[in-house]
Amino acid sequence: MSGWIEPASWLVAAAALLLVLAYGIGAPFLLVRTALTLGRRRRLRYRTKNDDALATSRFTIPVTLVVPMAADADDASGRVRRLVQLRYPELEVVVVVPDGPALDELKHVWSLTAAEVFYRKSVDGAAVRGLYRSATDSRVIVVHASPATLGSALNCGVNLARYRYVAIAESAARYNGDALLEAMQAALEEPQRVVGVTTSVSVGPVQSIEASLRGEAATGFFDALRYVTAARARLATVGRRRLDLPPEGCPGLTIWRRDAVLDVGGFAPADTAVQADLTLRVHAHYRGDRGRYRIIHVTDAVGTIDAAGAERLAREARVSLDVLWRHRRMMLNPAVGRLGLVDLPRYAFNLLVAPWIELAALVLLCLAVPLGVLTAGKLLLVMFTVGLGNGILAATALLLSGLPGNDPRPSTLFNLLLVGPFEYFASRPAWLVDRFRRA
Amino acid sequence: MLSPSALLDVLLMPSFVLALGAWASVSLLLLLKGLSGGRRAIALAQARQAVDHIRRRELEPGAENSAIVALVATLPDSVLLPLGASGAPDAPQTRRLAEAIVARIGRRQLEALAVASAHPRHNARRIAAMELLTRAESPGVTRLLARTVDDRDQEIVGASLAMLGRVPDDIAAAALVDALKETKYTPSRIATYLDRFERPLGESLRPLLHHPDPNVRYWGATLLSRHPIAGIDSDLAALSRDPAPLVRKAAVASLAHLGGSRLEQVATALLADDAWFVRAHAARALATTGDADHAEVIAPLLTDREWWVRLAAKESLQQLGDEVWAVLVPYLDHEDGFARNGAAEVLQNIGVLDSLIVLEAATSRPSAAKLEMLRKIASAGGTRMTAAMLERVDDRARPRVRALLETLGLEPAGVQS
Repeated sequence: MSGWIEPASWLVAAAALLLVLAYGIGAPFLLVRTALTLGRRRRLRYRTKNDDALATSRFTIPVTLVVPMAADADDASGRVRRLVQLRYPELEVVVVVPDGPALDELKHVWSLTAAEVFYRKSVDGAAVRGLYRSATDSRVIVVHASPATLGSALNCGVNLARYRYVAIAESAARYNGDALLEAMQAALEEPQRVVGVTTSVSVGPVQSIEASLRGEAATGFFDALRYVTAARARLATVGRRRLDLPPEGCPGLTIWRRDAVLDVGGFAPADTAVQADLTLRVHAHYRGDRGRYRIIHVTDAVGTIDAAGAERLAREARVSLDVLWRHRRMMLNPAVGRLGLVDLPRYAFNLLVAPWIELAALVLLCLAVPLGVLTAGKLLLVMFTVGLGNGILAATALLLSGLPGNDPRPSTLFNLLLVGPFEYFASRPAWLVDRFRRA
Repeated sequence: MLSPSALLDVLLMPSFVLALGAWASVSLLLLLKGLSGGRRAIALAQARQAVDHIRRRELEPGAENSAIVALVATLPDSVLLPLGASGAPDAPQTRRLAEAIVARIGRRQLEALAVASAHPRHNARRIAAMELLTRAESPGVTRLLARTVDDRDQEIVGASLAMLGRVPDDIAAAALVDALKETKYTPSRIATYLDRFERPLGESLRPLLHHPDPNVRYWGATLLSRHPIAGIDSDLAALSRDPAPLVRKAAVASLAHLGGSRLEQVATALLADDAWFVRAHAARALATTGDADHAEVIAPLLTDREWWVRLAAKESLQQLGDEVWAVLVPYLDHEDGFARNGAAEVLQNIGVLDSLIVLEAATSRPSAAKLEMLRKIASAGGTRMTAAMLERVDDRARPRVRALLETLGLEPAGVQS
């Protein structure tokens, strides 16, 4: 072999090995770990579902729903109505909206009356140009503002919030009737410690049992692929569990105790990853002392959202390099305990380094046959191993998400399971590109 | 020497076999789980549809009962527990369904299942058994639930308490009160069930007012507002001097809920309490009387050092109605900017500002005193308040109102005439 071929061959072999070990051995390892976690979680799963007593109790903690809305949001009044109709004993809805058709529609449908409300500007928020109260429902307040960023719109809502907990609601989502009640359960049980609750919404779920009873077509291959991709994306957030960062895919209601938001200075004046940024600041504020605070993630989806809304949400939730850079002081900082020493570095590694390594491995793999490191057959074996590893990850994600159960017909189950090994090749390129963009 | 190719040869096949084995195993597991769970889920959904169908027929109770018994006899065992334990617990049809299922499974068997100490994965079945017995109003169910309240598993404890809250008898009441005293579960959740308890509980709750734990006294004072008993006014008035501020807050809030002669005295005294939330609740309590005379003592809280007290004062004054306006006028010139804003906001919300401006704009010779008051309110409220007011008045009156505001030296911006 000439001088450069041998080192190159070793590099290619290392790349193939990395992929094989990561997917062929790493995935079964993750499966075992997940199974153990599920066993433990079963003990902690208790939530009184459909607890009518709680839904009408005067001992729940009132919540202010803050809803940033685009100037041209369609069905603005319907979006607000759905939030007002959430089953919860005491809530108010603060809509922050710029001038435009959405504001006009709200004025008309909700019979808004201009009024001045004096409030404490505790955090830097968007300048308020006008305030409106609904004549038909006193719980609705509409703020006419021109926020420069999502963060300033949220701060504007936080300033006006009258209640102890503030729930940031995505106006395009369709929340379940009990979404707020379910999300607030943990906070109601331990309000002195629970400073934050994150939830998620799902995109275009697979068909339901009712659909199967009605004789509708079973969930198809492409729907199954989309579902598995979304479920699989959650598993890609290794290291964020203890960081309690909101879900990247489709965050649902994100609830914060108002005093905690004020203590850390409110949301960052940015358009992306404002919740993740706030989460990291809350960790820093409490110095990672879990005796003083908890941020809970409710795993069951609290609603659904259409594909376009989901894409925007995912864009807004993406954690970028500048967010991590802003919190660099937490990195490897013993003062914030394990969060700083292990979890944040691991998260940064996954976000910044891992995609490059994976891409490099895939590129190098292309050279495996020309360099004679692998035969074409063995290259296929590598690809099969990677695909099967991904299939294991997808199955693990299905286990975590409680599926199967929604559409229990055999054809759907087969689709969901068979799609796993192919999912890597169908969605990984786009996923990698996205991560590079962020990195 | 080991070559890269040889190294891969060694590792590739075992990794592939491991991945294939793991994928096949987990897929098979999911498939079997999905198929069995799916069959059960479909059977359950079909059973629910059949029950709904019977309900929609609006049969006589006897005929409906027979139809339900006949249906339950045909259902697979796996759906009986979830079917009987789901749906609205208080509907009469729910009880008939539960009775039919209890009769089919057997009361003793369900009781044994409910009290069996088992792994948490069986909790759903245990809770469903408890729920069925409760819905069927099975004899001895309250004692059974009072027993399961002491279970080691918090999931079972929570479910037992929720069901006890729906059983209106003395044993259930005593079990709930004991659970609250001994903090067997989240106090606010137990209090929720006690709050909704159908039978009067006043005498059971009264001892809580003297409990050494301030949290228990707090809940006792809070719950007594829904379960009043003779002489409770005096007990609550005494608690308004409790060393724990939470208890004082609960005392004044409960007095407000009950009304009565002691409220005004207690609430007025607590307006000067050291704890800000007690002051806020005292203001709100006074507002529940609807007596505008109390505005004199509430209004100073517009200058309180705590924002939440100011907010409570504003909302309380607003609740007292438009008669409070005279009390607020001095605050329009107050040195504290927030007090000025607050007074102006209350005057806006009780409609004084709008009536004044519309009336004065309509007359050719506005009263100097009223104009001065308008000027003060508008100055205290700022330009956004006048802009909002302009937006509220109808289109015909707007030019006159705008002209009047301009004569007062106020120029609202951003509102189209």
